[in-house]
Amino acid sequence: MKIFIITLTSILTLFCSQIFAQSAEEKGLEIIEKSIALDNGFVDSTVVGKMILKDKSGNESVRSFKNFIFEELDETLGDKSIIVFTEPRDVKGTSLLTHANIEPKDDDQWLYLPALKRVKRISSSNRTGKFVSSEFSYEDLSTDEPEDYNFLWLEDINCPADPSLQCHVIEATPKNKKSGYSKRVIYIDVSELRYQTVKFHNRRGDLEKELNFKSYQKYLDKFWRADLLEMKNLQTGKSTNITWENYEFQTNLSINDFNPEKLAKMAR
Amino acid sequence: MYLFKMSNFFPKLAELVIKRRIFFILIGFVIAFVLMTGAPNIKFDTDARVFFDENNPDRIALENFEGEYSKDDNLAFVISPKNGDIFTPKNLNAIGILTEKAWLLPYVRTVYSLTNYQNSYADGDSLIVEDLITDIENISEEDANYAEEVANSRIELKNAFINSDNSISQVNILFRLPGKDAIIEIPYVMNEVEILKKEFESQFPEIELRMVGFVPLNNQYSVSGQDDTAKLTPMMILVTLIAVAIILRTIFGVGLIFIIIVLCAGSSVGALGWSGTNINNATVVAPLMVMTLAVASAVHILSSVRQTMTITPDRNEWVRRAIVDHGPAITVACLTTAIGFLSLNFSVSPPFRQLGNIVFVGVIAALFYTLTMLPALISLLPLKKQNQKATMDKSMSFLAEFVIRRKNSLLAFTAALIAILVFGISKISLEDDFLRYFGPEYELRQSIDYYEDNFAGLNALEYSVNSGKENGVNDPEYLMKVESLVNFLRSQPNISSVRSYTDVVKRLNQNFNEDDESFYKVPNSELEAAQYLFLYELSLGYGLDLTDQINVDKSALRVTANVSKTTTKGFLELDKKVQSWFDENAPELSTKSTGTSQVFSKISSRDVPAMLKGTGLALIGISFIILLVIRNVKYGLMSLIPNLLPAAMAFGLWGYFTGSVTLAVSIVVAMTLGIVVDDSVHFMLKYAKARKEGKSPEDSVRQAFEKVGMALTTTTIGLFLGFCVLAQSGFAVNKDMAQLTAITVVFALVVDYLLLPPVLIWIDNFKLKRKTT
Repeated sequence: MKIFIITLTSILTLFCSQIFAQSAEEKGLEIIEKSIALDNGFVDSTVVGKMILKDKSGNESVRSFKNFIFEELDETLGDKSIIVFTEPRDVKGTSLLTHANIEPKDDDQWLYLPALKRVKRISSSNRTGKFVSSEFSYEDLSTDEPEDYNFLWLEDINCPADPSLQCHVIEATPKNKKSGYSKRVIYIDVSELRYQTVKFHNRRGDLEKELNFKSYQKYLDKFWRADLLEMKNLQTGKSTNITWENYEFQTNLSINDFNPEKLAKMAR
Repeated sequence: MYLFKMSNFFPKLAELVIKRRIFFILIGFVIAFVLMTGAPNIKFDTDARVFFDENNPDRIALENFEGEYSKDDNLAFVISPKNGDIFTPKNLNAIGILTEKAWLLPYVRTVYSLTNYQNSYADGDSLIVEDLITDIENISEEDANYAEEVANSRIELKNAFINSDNSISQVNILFRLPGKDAIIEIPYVMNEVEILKKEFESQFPEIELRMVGFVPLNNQYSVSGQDDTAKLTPMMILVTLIAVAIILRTIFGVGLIFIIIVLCAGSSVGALGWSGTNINNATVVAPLMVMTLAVASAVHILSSVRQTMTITPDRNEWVRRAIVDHGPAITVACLTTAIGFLSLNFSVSPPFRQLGNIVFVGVIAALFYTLTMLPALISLLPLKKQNQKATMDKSMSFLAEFVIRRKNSLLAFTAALIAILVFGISKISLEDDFLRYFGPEYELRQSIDYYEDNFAGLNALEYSVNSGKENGVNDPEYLMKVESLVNFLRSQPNISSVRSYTDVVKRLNQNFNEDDESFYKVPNSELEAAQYLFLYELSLGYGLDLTDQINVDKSALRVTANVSKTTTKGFLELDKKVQSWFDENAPELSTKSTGTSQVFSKISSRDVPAMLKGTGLALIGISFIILLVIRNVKYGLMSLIPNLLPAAMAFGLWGYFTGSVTLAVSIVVAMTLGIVVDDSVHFMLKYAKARKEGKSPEDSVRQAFEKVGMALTTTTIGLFLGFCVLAQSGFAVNKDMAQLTAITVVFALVVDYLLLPPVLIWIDNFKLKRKTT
């Protein structure tokens, strides 16, 4: 009899946790989708970014750039963006145009080198590579596309970077094997659904990097943007901070500005 | 015979030991036990760099270099398909799979392989930087052929990721070890590497997989150290005990010796544990040396007891005579040996200093145990009385007669022999190839030899070529100079491959100009070069970057030249050539070479002068003891001959037969000096005593042979066998040291028996004649 009860209890527990797990996956996906949807309708934006790279012994190097983003309304396409570097001086004017695509299709990218006054289409299958030698990869800088990941809601706890806020903790496992990560653990605050912290686990599964979003500001009464992104590599001790300044929205950029032929002009 | 002012010290000690024998036995065990509780603290070092002091200038330079670029804690899987062709879809797939799995090892920083080589090329108006094999799961014949074509046209790949006939490739894994506890980290990595290797081998049985690199090499340091302990300890105990049993013909004595040597070795290891240093490949043999040296002392007591027991059945008398007759000689022997080992503290290499100190403690312990505990045990335990005289005494008097009769021809013969042998020293070359410190019985060593025979060099000359200004690496003039340095290096026959960023920038220039080969050159302007570099960094794949090629502020480039199959001398000469290239072509860029190979190649030449100082001081200290004991300046000075010659002869013999010698070379003289000095001191003491009693030089020689001949022969045999056992070590430094010591010990006996007596007779007779005329 005793054994029977134990067996029954274990079966029930197993059964319940099965249901629970399913809803946790749905919940995770729902939160992410909501968070992304909140950003719809910004049309376009420009912002000045400053990236400070620090190594273990404190040596710093700086990359500055202007970022133009054009919101793509077509669901099957990603946003379009241009990054124009202004610092270091010897790469001033070097510009990168990206037409994001939904995976598994690679993004389309073009690069303009002012020293050669030429635009070249470049391959971008290396989404996992470092972005200008920083601790960010392209993968880290692009927005999550829900269909690229399996999401799993884990729990709600105090946000690690700001304990005054409650955070959903969601585990995102990439479907693409080529991803540089085995999983990411995303902390999204409950009240405004903003990304607060992302913990990156490398391919082996070890915690490699931690990204904190700081100083959120609300633009156009709707769009939250963090002024400061702090990325720390926990294995190398290196870090990269990005500060965003002079956010502007709906600046009348046209889709033509994101044409490769226009890149040289935009770079000026 | 009068030793020191404390000439009545030994009779007193003898009485004390007899009276308080239980106390001495107990205190002996207690001391040994207390010391031995330190032993569990001991761990094995897993770092080849233990041989370099923190303030070794070569090590400092290397660590600065590593701070600027990266530390090459690497492991390379060497891939040899049995079909002899890397470029088949199946073999490329295997390399791709290994590359991906390697990323999952602990602490991995980067994985470089043929399949993830960042292949850049122009495709119409596009510039592509991608893995050489983009999709490892679907490799067609055409993909494989294309990869072959690319790999054979890229100077960065040839002899680096693909060998000359396309039959071998490698996956090079770079680790970023946290460096908190190398003793745990490296075995942890190696454990997972072994699992990966097995997995790969069962998946691809038609591919041979080998491992080389710094991580397995460092691991080998702890593995072979442990091997040495496991292999040599029982061998040492067995050999010693059998030798003692044969010489002394007493099983009981063997048991006593066993107790003593275990206590001595245990005490010295325990002392090491208490001192908090880790054990390493060089110090691992220290307890075994202590055993050998302890046996030499204990044998004196036991052989004396053997002699006395034929005269009297009184146990206390056995002990008394042993301590009174041999105590002074044992004390002198142990003190001189201790001084010799203590002088190893002058070495620039920490393991030798530790070795010296451990053996020092062990020898002092041996002195204490053999003079107190051993006699106490003898007087207490039922050692059976034997009446038979030991056999060797007879042969000694035969030898004495021979030496006296043939003194002139012996003098000539040994002098000639010595001259010929000593000349051999000129044939010795210092050889510190840290890749080959381990014997060919080790798998890693076999892999290293295989790699160098079939692929490329593993020793490397590293240069950090500084432009002198921030972002200076983009200056075309600077780039062109680095390029010509690279070309110069590539023209050297011993250099198998050279790695430098200049190859990348030249290729990018070509790629950006629609793959026009005339653009395979350094870009024209600084801006162009800077933007190519920027473009390249923007396009690299997962985990790849240029931080190990270009320093942080982009003021310097790293140039790595792999040198294959060369001697230390050849390696250093190559560096000299590079230095003169700098002087002639680019004095403003001149920079010293660095790298692990370089640090090792200099260690012997740094340690030899340091140890010359130490050896000199040891010689002074030991000579002082000899003078104290012999109390005769003439004989004291003459004792230098048999003390210094044996090591010189051993080196000479070595020069003829082996030629190259490792780091061990610097410490052997100091080490052996203290050991061999015993023989001559004992011999000369007896000789001087006989002369004082008015005996003729010839008769004095006879008496000396009779009194100490047997003891000297037995200790020499014991020491020789002991060091022969140590010479079985798989670690070249230990092996060289033990072999040289074993030879030296034998030569010492040869000199003491065949050269010293004729010289003594000759000098004393010469004086006698002068007096009479």
